[in-house]
Amino acid sequence: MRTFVIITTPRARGDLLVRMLAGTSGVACANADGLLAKAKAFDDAMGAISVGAAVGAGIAAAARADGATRVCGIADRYAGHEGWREAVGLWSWLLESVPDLHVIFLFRDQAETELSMEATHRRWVPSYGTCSGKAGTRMIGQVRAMEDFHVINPTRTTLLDSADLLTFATAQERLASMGLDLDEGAWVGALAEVTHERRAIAAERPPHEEIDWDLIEPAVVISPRQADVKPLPPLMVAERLEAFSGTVEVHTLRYGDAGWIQECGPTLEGWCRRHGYGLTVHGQPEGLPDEKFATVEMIRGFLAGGAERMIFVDADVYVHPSAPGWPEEMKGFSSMPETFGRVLGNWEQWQVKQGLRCRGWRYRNSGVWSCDREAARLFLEALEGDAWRVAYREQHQFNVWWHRAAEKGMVVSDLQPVWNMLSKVARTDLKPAWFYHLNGPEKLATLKLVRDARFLPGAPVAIQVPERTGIPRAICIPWLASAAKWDELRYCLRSIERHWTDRECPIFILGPERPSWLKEDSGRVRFQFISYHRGKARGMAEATRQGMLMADEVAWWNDDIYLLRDCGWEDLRVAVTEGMLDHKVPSLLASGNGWQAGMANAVIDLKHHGAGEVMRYATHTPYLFEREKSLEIFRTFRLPYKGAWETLYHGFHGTPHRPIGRTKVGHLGNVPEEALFLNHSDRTLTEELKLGLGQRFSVPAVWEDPCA
Amino acid sequence: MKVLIYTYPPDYVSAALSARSIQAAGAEPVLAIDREDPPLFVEGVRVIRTEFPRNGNLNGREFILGNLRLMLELGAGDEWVCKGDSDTWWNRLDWIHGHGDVSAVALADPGRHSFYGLAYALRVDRIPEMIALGEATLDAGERLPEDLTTGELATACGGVHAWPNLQPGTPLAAYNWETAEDPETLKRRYDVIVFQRMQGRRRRDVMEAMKSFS
Repeated sequence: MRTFVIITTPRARGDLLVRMLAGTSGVACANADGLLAKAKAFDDAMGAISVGAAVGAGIAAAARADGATRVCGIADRYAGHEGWREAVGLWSWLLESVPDLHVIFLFRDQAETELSMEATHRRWVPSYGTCSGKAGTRMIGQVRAMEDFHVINPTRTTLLDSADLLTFATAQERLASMGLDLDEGAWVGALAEVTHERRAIAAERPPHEEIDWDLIEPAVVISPRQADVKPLPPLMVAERLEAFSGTVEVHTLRYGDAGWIQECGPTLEGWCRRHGYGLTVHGQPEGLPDEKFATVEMIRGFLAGGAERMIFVDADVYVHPSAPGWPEEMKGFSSMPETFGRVLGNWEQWQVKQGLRCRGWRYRNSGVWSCDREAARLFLEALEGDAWRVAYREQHQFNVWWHRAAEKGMVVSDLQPVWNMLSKVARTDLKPAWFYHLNGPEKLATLKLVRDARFLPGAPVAIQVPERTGIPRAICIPWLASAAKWDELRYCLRSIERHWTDRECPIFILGPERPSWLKEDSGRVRFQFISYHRGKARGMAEATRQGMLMADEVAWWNDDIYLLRDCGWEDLRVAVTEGMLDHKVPSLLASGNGWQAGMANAVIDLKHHGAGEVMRYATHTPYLFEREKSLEIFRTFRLPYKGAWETLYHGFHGTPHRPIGRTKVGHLGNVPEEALFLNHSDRTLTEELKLGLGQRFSVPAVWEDPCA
Repeated sequence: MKVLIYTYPPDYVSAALSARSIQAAGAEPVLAIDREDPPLFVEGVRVIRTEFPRNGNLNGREFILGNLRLMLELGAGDEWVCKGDSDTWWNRLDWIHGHGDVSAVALADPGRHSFYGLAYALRVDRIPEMIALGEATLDAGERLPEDLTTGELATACGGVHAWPNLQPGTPLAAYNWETAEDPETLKRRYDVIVFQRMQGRRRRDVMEAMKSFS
């Protein structure tokens, strides 16, 4: 009887493979987690290799008693998960102890970024969730160990990418190479069985995350439980209410050039501009007991004009980029009730000292308020002839006048905290808001706190905008020689030379080092030096800045993307996507992977700028960017993120898109007709693939120096 | 002819690749792992476990004498027995023969009685004399690198043919990581090539380079 062992990394669809094999005639296969480790421990204790008794017993237990079983195996997950020493020792012991045993190393490509290392139901086929840093590192180490052990024992082991299990043709072909005859019924049945189980379990628990799992039924949606993922607040952006439709004028008191003024000022101006509100910035007043009493004159000025509503906003208010128009419901005089004890305690004492008593009045903050014309009139009547007492600047006095006017019939409405999120609230109970009021001494620190919590998008950093080059279209490829694993760039360019229909557009290689094989006079392929002396992240940011603005239209490429058939600019105008990203944000942020976190931060920032559902545009295919639209991205978003540019660009500009389907493949076997691109990771750049690419693109390009 | 390679877990893959090159060159590789190392199974290659201490990177009286005794045992019935490093690639064995009645053949610095441990050959029937001399003269506890000390013992027991390092015509060389020459050209030019971790290269680079030579 032929025997085999499946050793899998976590979440590599081992369960699926076992079921496929178990459903195949003449094959018996069972899950036996931990069997190998136990058997080896038994042998170690015995001081001799007698594993036939242990593993053989395990395999025999999986065999059917009908005598028709020709092939028998067990699957043991995580065997070799503790590092190379453990892996090589365990696997060596296994091969030595069971003659003719064949080991199938089943792994999951790291390019499949949705990877779960969380404890899930034991019968899950991998769910898409978080991959914590340590667990992810161990898994990568295990895959590397598998590859290394396969180098040591090439005929007794096979490396199997679990993605190959998802189409019958590839699954059958891969297993046939190992002498395992997979039939289609078993394949279909296994997939259906696992899908059904997952749905049943998902139905029992509230869904936390949706995934798309393209099986025999495209767009099958399963909702795995992700209980250990810390959810982000449900709203990263505050709720919108219906906006007031009448004429509004906005007033602020602003002078000086403090850092917080430079941060906050433009945000208020942007808000007014977006909603068509007239903004008056008042400078430093003179002759007042406190400068904030200048707001009284502002109210007088408002009544003298024709606007229907007036809004006052303190200079230290940072306005969210997606803040909607002033809400309709803020009628009369609207301000936010204060809830903190210190100012309220002082207010009570102050009233007593002043011989005032504002019975039944709920104390309010005077940093942000609005009034309509009737409320303004009644307010001015209430202050007529009264002293302007300074206490908490003008705030205590305003509360006296608000109370007095309210007693005379002025309508008072409560401004919600989303329109006046005070520093002390932000530090203790931060929630999404439209106006972040950085009151108190630590204004920039509070702003940083809000940004770090992702309640505000990162502020864009000004870039130097180069002159238009006049180049209508160009291909740009960022390239770092030290990151190359092979000769990827050479073959990538050969594929472009062969298949890109625009034979004239220049191709820019952006990086710190010119490829050694690139001719001095290399024609349309041009080297653009980018300094990396300040590190890889800054180098890449500079490459992005220069590349995106290199031409009116830029096809942004990576050296691990190869064209498989003729295509051109028109093929990139509709972006390809791999599902939606919104629901994946918590898990991407928690992944410990910088590229995934960058993508998640991009989604958050897009939400801050009012985006609807964000698709995953980061598909490791060429992207088409327009210079003017790219400039808008530079000016709107904080960069660089790893893995974020394409998400920000296409998400912000609403690029038409379609599911990627089989437009991209990861290997050269059974390439579908519709495949345009091949992309590989470091891990999937196998010797076989290198050979295939070398053969496919064997003719040197005209820009290659034959002597190099 | 046997070629002995001392290896340990970080170099298991390179050692396996080296072993395959030795097989292709017509010799029989023997991989030696240390007493505390995890087991190693390599298809078609003999793996043994040594008990004498390595004292770090193959050092000391005990190791040198243990190595000689092991090489004597492995070389039984052959004229020569070899020792190589895990990161050494063997193309041919021609470099060993035709040097007269010497006790050893190795790569060495000109003018020095020494040789490099990346690959050397010992005449089997001279090894007992070398063992006796070592037992008489080597001090325990003294820092004694295996390659230099073995070279000194071989020099005293019949002489060494030293292929001068970095000289034209020397068929043993270290791989130049910046070379533009392809593996086939290098394999034709050199009988033995060692892939050292230099010029910023790490173990995985060595492994990948050796795989490209396969």
